[in-house]
Amino acid sequence: MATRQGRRYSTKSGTSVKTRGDFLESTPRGRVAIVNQAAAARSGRAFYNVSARGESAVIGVNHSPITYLLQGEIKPGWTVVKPLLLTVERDEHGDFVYSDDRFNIYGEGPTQSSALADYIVSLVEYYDLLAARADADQCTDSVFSYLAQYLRHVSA
Amino acid sequence: MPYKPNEIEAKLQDKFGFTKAGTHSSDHRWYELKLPGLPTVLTKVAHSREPISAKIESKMARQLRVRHPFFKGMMDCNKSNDDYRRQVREDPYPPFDVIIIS
Repeated sequence: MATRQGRRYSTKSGTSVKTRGDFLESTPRGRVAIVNQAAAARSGRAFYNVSARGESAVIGVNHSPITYLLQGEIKPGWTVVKPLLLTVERDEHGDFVYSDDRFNIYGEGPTQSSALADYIVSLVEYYDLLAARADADQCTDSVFSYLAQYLRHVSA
Repeated sequence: MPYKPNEIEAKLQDKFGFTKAGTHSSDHRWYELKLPGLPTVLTKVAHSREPISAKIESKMARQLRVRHPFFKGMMDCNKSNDDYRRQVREDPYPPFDVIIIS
């Protein structure tokens, strides 16, 4: 299945699609019902079987990656001092995935905000894990120093 | 073939020598591997009963410093512990951002 039961997804045109039995959009000619989700998202594109007025067709919905610039205070005491470029994607379950190519951190969730929150938690945990190991290991200290150029922890 | 988080965790620990790295979150765990002369390898595994998506597999592969097909080989038992260590030393992907002076 391309998506999980009960999830709702936005398309480029701002309409929303859901699982079997729900409606893609209302039109003057009636409603277009999704009868099945035909295939998993591949190459950033998901396909759905839809039917209306007795006719059916397959439509494609783009799930192309977009980017997000993370900067400023991301949680109390934690500030991204150098902008960090994140990629926002959808996986084949329909979940959102935020990730960066600099530290290889990712966050996932059923909504954009939950995925971003998971990313932020993971980034801070990664910082803490590196910090705890940096003193004993010069190589890890180098990675930690690099991360510290982007993320600062200000103790209250 | 999709992999469940507990299967990945078992493989990382039992076959590749990763250990739990202490975490603060209830919905995922971190695992670490220290190889001499390299920065600590850290990877995050989400807690879920469902198989992880291919997208997340590719993100984990990057954290492990290998390409996605290599990661699948690790999980499918086509890649040994020695293969993994050699790969991370000789051709890490993505490369480590810091210069390692050995």
